[in-house]
Amino acid sequence: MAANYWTSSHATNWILDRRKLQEAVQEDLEYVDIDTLTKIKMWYYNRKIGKRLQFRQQVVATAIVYFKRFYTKHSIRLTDPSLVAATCIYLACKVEECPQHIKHIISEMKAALANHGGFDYDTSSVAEFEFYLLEELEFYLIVYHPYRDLILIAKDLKLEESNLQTAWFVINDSYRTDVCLLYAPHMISLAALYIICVLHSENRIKDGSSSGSAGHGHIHHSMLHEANLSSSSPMLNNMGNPLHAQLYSMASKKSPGGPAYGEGQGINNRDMVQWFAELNVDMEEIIEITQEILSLYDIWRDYNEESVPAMITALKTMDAVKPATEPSVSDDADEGELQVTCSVDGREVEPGEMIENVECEEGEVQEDQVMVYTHSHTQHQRVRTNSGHLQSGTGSIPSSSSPSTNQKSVGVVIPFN
Amino acid sequence: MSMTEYKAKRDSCRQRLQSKYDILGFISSGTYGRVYKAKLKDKDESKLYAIKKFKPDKEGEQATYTGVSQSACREIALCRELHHANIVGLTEVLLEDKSIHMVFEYAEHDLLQIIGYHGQERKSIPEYTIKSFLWQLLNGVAYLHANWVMHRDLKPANILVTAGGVVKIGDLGLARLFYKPLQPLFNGDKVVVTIWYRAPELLLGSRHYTKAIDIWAIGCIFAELITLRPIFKGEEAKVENKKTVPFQKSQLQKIFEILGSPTKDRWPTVDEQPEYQGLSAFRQYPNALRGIYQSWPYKSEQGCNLLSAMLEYDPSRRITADEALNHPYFQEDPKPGWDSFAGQQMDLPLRKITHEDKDMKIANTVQRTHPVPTVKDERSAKRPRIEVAG
Repeated sequence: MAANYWTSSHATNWILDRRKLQEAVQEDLEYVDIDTLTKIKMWYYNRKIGKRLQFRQQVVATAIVYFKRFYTKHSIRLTDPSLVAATCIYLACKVEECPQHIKHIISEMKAALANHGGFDYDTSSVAEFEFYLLEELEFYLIVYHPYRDLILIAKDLKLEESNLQTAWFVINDSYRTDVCLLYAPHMISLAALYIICVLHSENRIKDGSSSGSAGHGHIHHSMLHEANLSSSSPMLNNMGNPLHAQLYSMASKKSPGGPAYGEGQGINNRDMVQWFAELNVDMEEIIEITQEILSLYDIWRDYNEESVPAMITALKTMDAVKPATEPSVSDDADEGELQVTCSVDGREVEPGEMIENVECEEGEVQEDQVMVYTHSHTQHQRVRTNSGHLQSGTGSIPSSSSPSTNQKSVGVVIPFN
Repeated sequence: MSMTEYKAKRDSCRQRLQSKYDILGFISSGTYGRVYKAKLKDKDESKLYAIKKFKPDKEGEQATYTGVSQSACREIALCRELHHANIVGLTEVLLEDKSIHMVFEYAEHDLLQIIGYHGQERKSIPEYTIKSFLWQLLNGVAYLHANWVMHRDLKPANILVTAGGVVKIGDLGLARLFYKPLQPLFNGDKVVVTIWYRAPELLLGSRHYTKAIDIWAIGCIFAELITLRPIFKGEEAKVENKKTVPFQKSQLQKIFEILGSPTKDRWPTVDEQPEYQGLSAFRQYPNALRGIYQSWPYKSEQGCNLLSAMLEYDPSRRITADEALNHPYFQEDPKPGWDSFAGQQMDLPLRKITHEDKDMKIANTVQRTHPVPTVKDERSAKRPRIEVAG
């Protein structure tokens, strides 16, 4: 366990696949879109409570993992994330051996949420909920974090302090994504290093110099740092695209050779490439994690903390987003086959069929996307449309890859806003 | 937002403990709560369990939620991850009646009971059995230490033994991870390890103690298995206020009388211990361990070497669990085995249980008016233990 991640409950029970995560958000997605949901969750990870209590990063990280594990089983809509969050913090403090009095946690929670709906719970309701939380966590409480691996790797690589710091901040940010539910911690720390590596070479390309300068590492370091301290500031805005492009191209080549060659202060990229190449790890997975983290920065770009409470209220009180067309239920489903019936404009569409000219009522489609949603709890896909036109779109409903079920399903196409 | 719907959903799918297990009787109680013997209702299953019910917090007569105790939290977190033949196995955790119920595999005996029985009968524990106990105990502790877990309360009562003679280390309520702790270990719990088994560095107030404290305790247990009485039976100086830890003069005295004074030669950093000044109050003693050992029933030279290596003053020189497992003592006949009772006429009595409280309803508050005498209640009255703060 503690010495061996591979035999821990974290590795054997709590590394999930994407389908499981998709199922988990299904219910909430009837009410809000995925970006909004991500922002809502981000708001809870990001609350000042951790800062107020001066917690060590590891305690906050453990609490966030508990929170995320809880929400792989339940919807935000039917639960109260503020109670879940408070209880996660309370429990994480005990497990990480820096216990805080429950009353202290509650008063800090009240202060942190004073202007955001308040925190209307007392000791016994947090303590009662702790029982539910323990059960949801299946009593597996020990969580591994990428920080420990990062430090070991940094030592091995003789990584400069500033780069270690930057990688550390990238790991902090990674807790706002689902990577901690999907990948082993050491892979996340490698991805963080990979990002640092790419940042350096990007910087050098932009600079048009391969010699590097003393300031190199620090330019990005300070950018990341700034972004980290104030979450509402745009992240990596001005370099997001070339970085993405580079990462995507690396991912498609399936080769570890990403970072540009060159001698620079801080990270020696030739060494790094060599180092990554010699690692016996799945490079594709590292790139997946990298992309996951970078896509967070995309969402972050238009994240505005102040607007989130309204989103939460909407999620809690709103009726389900009105479907563009009435769902049609098909009764003659063959057993064992996933029945996805989507009606668009009165016409049934089959899974996998190209939808052209999806007509929606004016005003309902805000973006050039529609989402195909089924109640089978197995499939939930966003269909990207080719045109940016509000009233028409072309996309395909992904064919069913679901192992389930003979369950009858209702499919609807709903506007994605 | 009361989460009524969520709670109703969860409550409806929770299986009641007593619909799954038959409670066969009550085993013992402690500060944490009560332990029951149980078996599955399934007739084909003969496997036995020990269910540890943590006492619920009380406000008047009404049980309330006040948060899971640090000790229960540790025990759940660690037992859920640890899987080893010599660590008591946790089958499941059930929550009901505002209490935590940890379901453990059942062990018929424990070292305290075995030592007590032999003391009463005035006969020694066979050398093979002692060596097997010790070897398995070290094996379990080596696993704990390899996983960065310190037990911190090793003593005969916490070392369980199955009817098949297999050692199971129990009660991890004081155990904790020591890999890069966020705070010095001393900040967490001011007092660890029951007084008679407490290592000298702890008695001298060390802030950064190590896993070597567990080895000291094993040394004490080893000696107790041979002589059937605690080797360092000091009087515990009671805690007067929570902020200060009292100086354990009597306990140190008992240790010095047998092992001699802790000189700078034997323990180079002894003068850096916070309570070093207190040592000037003692007179000088020579090391008498070897002589005392000669008066014990088993006179293996290697056994004596191993014992003194475990009772080394300097924690950094004290033998580790891994080193101890490779000690020549275990190469000598009789060699240790997995069934510590194999080929021995033990005739050990079975664990006593009482047949009241089969519905697990007796709470500690009720118990005060209707005392339930049990084996552990009697013996724990005489024996010191650690009170774990909630």
